[in-house]
Amino acid sequence: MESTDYELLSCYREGQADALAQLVDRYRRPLFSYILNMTPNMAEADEVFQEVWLRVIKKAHRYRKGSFFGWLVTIARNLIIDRGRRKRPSLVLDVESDKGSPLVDRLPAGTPNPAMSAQANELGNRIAEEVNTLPIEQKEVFLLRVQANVPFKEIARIQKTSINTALARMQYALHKLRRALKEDYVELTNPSENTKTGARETVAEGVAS
Amino acid sequence: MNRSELERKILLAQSGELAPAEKAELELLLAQSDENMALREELDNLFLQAQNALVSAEPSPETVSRILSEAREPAGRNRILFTRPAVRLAACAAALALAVTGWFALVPDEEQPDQVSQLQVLVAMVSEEDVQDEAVTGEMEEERVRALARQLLIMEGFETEEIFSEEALLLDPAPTTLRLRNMTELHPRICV
Repeated sequence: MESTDYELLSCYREGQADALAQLVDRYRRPLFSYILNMTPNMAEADEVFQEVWLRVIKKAHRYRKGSFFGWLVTIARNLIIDRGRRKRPSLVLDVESDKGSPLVDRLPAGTPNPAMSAQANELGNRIAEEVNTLPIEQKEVFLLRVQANVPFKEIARIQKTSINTALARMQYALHKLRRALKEDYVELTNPSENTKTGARETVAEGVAS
Repeated sequence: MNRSELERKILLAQSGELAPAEKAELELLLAQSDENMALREELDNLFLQAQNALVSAEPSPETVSRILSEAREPAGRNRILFTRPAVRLAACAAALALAVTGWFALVPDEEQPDQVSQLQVLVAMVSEEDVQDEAVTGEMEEERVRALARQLLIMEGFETEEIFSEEALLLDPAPTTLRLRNMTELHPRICV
C-alpha cells in the first residue's frame, strides 16, 4: 500500500532522505504546473519550485496532518506574492480596497503567458489564454480547482478566505470565461466524444485530494 | 433555487464537498430540468477542456536533483543553494562590523581606567544590595538611589555635592535616575 504524505514526511524527519524523494516525485507535476501558471516564465517557476522544497526540508517538523499539497501550494503562493511585491513594491495585493473587494480581484493578471501555449485544440487554447487574463485570485482558484483538483475548502484555506469567497471567485471566473469566449463557448454544450475521452484521461492523472 | 445557487451546488458536487442529502437534492433538481442538466454538462466540459489546454509541466531535472541532494544533507547542515555574491559580501561585512564593535565595547579603554573600575564597583554595589536586602525601607531605597545616581554622574565627568534642603528632589527612584543622563545639558548641576 502506498504511504501517505504524513508517513513519508515522518520518515524523512527520521533521516530517510528517500522519503522526501518520493514526495517530490508525487507532487512535482501538479505543483510545478501551478507555479508555472502563476509565474512569468520557466526559469522563475524553477526557482520557486526549488525554494518551496528547500522550505519543506527546513520546516518539515512544522507539518501537521492535513493536505500536504495544500501546504506546498501555500508556501509557493507566499513566495510568488513576495516576488511580486519586490518587483512592484507599491502594489499591495492582499489589502482590502475601499470598494470592499481586495485590489487583487480587480487587476488583470497581465498578458497571456507564453508557456500557456498549445497543448490541446483551438478552443482549449482560447480557454487557457482567457484563464491567464483573469484577475490573479480568480485565476488561482480556477487553476487549483480545475488543474490540481484541490477542493474549495482547501483553496479557501490556502487563500486565507472563506469557502463562500472561494466559490464566488470561481463563479466570477466562469462568468468572465463565458463572456470572453462568446460563440466558441457554445461548443462546450455540444462536445465531441473525442474531447471527453482525452480529457478524462487527464483527470485520471490529476492530483487526488 | 436560482442559477447562481445551482452553479454553486454543482461546483461543490464536482469537488465532492456536498453532503449526501444535498447531493441527492441536487440530482433531483437536475433531473427535473433540461436547462439545469445543460448547466452541469457545460461546466463539466469546460473543466475538461481547460485541463487539456492548461500547461502541465515538470521542473528541470537539475532542479529536482539539487533538491534531492539538499534533502540528503544531514539535518542542520542545510544551506542556501544560490547565495548571490552580493549577499555573501554583505554578510561578511556585517560579521566584520560586529566583530569590530564587540572589540571596542569589551576591551577596556586604557586612557580611562578609572571609569571602568568605577563601573565595576557600581555594578558590584547594586548587585550585592539587590540580592542581600530585599526588604529595604523607603528611606534606605532613596539613599541607595542617590548613591547610584552620584556614581553615574561621576562617571559622566560631573562634580557632585550633597544638598539637604527643601528644594531637593523627591526621587522617584528608577525613572529619575535613568533620566539624569539626558538632563545633563539642561541642568549643569543636578540634585541627587
